[in-house]
Amino acid sequence: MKKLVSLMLTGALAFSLSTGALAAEEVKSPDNDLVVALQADATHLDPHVSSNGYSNTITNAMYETLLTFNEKSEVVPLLAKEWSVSEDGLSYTFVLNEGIKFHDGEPFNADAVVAVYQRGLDDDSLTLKRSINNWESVTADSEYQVTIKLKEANNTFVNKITQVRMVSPKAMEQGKDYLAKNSAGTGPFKLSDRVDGGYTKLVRNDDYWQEGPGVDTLTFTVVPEDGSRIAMLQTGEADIIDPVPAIDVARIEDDPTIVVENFPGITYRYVTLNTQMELPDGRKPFADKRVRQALNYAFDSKAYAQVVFNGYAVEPTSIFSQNIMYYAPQTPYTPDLDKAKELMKEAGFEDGFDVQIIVDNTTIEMKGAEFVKQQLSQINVNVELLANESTANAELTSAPLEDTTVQMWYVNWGSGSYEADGSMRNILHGDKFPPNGYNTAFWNNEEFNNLLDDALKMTDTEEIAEAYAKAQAIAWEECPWIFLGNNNTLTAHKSYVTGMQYKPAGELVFRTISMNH
Amino acid sequence: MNRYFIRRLLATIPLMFVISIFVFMFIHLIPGDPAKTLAGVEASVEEVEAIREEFGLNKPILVQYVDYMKNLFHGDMGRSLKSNLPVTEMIASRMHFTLRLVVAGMIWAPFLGIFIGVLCAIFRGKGFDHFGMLFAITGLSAPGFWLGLMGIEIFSVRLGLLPTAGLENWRGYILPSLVMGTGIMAVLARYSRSSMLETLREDYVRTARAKGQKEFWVMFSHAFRNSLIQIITILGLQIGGLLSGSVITETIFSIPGLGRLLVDSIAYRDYPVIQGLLMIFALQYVLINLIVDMLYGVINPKIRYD
Repeated sequence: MKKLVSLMLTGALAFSLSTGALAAEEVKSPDNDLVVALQADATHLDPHVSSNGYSNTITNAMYETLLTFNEKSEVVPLLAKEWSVSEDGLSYTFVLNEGIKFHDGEPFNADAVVAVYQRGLDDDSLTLKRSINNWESVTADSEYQVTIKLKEANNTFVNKITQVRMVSPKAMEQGKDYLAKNSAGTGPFKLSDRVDGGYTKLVRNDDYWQEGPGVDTLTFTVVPEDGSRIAMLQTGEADIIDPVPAIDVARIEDDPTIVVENFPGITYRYVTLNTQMELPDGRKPFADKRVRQALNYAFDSKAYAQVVFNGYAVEPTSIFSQNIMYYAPQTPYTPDLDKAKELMKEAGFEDGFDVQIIVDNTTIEMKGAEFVKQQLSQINVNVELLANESTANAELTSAPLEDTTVQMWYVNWGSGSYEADGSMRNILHGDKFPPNGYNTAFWNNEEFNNLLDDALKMTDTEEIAEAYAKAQAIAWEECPWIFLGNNNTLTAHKSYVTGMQYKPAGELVFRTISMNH
Repeated sequence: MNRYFIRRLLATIPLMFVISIFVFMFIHLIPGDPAKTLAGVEASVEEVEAIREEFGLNKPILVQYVDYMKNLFHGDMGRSLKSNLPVTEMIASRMHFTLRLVVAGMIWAPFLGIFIGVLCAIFRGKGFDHFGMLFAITGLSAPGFWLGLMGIEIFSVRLGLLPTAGLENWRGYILPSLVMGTGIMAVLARYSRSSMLETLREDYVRTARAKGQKEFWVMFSHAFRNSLIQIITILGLQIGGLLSGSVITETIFSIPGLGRLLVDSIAYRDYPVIQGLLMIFALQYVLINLIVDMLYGVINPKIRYD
């Protein structure tokens, strides 16, 4: 037995020494083929169908938009070289870059923009539909100038158009099935082959219209298991991994061949408090602002960031992430149990109450909800976890007010177009009670609603900022949620990967990616 | 024998029909709305409705079932709600991964398992028996995901000998094969030991010994051959399980096989794909059981099917 133990110890020592030796060498990529390990696969490669984040990561390497975001959350030109807006905020005119070709050889011009709009009009089942449903018309003014007219002024238009990907008109005619197997964008990579659920391999577009990537191929491979993804980066089988679970950063951060990128994310986490919820005795605890505030005073968001996200999270300072345009910081609810208890007492809930919280049954979500439960127990609020698979939860949380069983919901939200309206409307506006949206707090504040509605029609950025700042202040003070925080976006890559670009919140852009090989 | 075989084969048709009804009804009973999941959280009520309309999800469930069965008889299992690809094409493109994994596990595990089990029975109570059973119990108790991740940590990350993912070359098969096979090896070791012990107590074994037959022949021809019936039953069930995909092995080693396809499809409530997979899994079980039954007759000619 003793021999066995000493043998094992020697083995362990040998392993640790061997990793140390590897680390000292300068690393170069053995090939010019970049591999990105993602947690999940794209749902569909047609950029007008796909809806999840991984679909965007993959399709963005093949398809481009008129405008795009840079890392600082600014809208910058891409396929359009400049744009202007009419005084009434209704017409946007884009001047397009010339001489660009789609992967299938078709030219990119104003007619192509019109064709994309037409596709959105013709097919209701496309996610493209929601980007264009406020468009009145699209007119080709000349071969390289196009004007989009809106039904009513909407200052989020510029943000939303960063989601409208340009696809060859000829390819769109051939439909979704064609686009699932062929790429027809203007992007730096073209589709080579794909195994659904396995990998998607792209090759460099040698006819790309601006400075492009240095790598020959870009392969997205699906690696659902966190430990395997980390191992692939360590062995060099993957050059980039997305995401890195917060709990695993420690495993790779000391490795000199690996760079961990840490971005404040746009995923805002919160717990909705159903303001119309009735206890068995008829009282409505969450209808009382004091109770809702007490819950926030009882909640330690610093500890939450530490316990649930290993410190890779930011405390909440407003009702959405600081990466979103028009974010306005608020005074944090510094944890104060005495104050929380006092507010509960004033509201007549000194002895607390029993309540249920709905949560997705993944490890990280459950851990977060457990933390909420523990924090609220300090003010006698007894939380019971109802863990379900996310698809089942989506059904529960879509039930209208008269049927809803949702009392609290542990959830998160991030606006894909990084805009303030998208970060609030669907989850807090009075018109967005389920099933029209996800306002499961059933919170309806007239002033807040009006501010959101008015801001959309404003064109002056200062006025817009003021309106959104007011809206944030109201929701912050009214507490329809427990504000939890923002977890960071963590990705990692080998040190030989260069030319990486990011959108806000760390979304990867592969346009100029290269490898030292 | 042939008539029996054909009769059994024909009997699978009504059986599959009944299975199809159960599967169809059950998957539609799971809470969750595929149209809503596909459209994403930012979708409007109208968008969700449009998707429902496109895939016929707003029709009464009986109509949906009849439509499904009509298409099935034409060899059409429908299209995935998620990727819009034909289900037959999706299953075909992923089945070979699962088959390769099954072969990788089956190429060594049953043989080693039976070998250990038989030797344990022969040397019952001796050192080898204890060691063999300890080995088997360890194999049974080591969870697949732990074994896989430890294998990756040691052989891929630290020693750099084997890849962590994929089945691109023979080295890629080693770790997945280890995870797939270990459990089966352990189960078979235990079953073959007990089955062998049972037959060793039979009168005909004693008679064979009394006849003065060599011990090796007593063991091999009399005891082992008769204990095979139980072993094959267990083996059949195990293979059936493996053919429906090993979610754990496929997840850890990033292999896009049928197990992961099923799990992903359930997450999206991709009804046609779930339905197609469950029907195929059921059919596999039925056929494997049939093969096992046939093998009984081969092993023991006293068992006759007329």
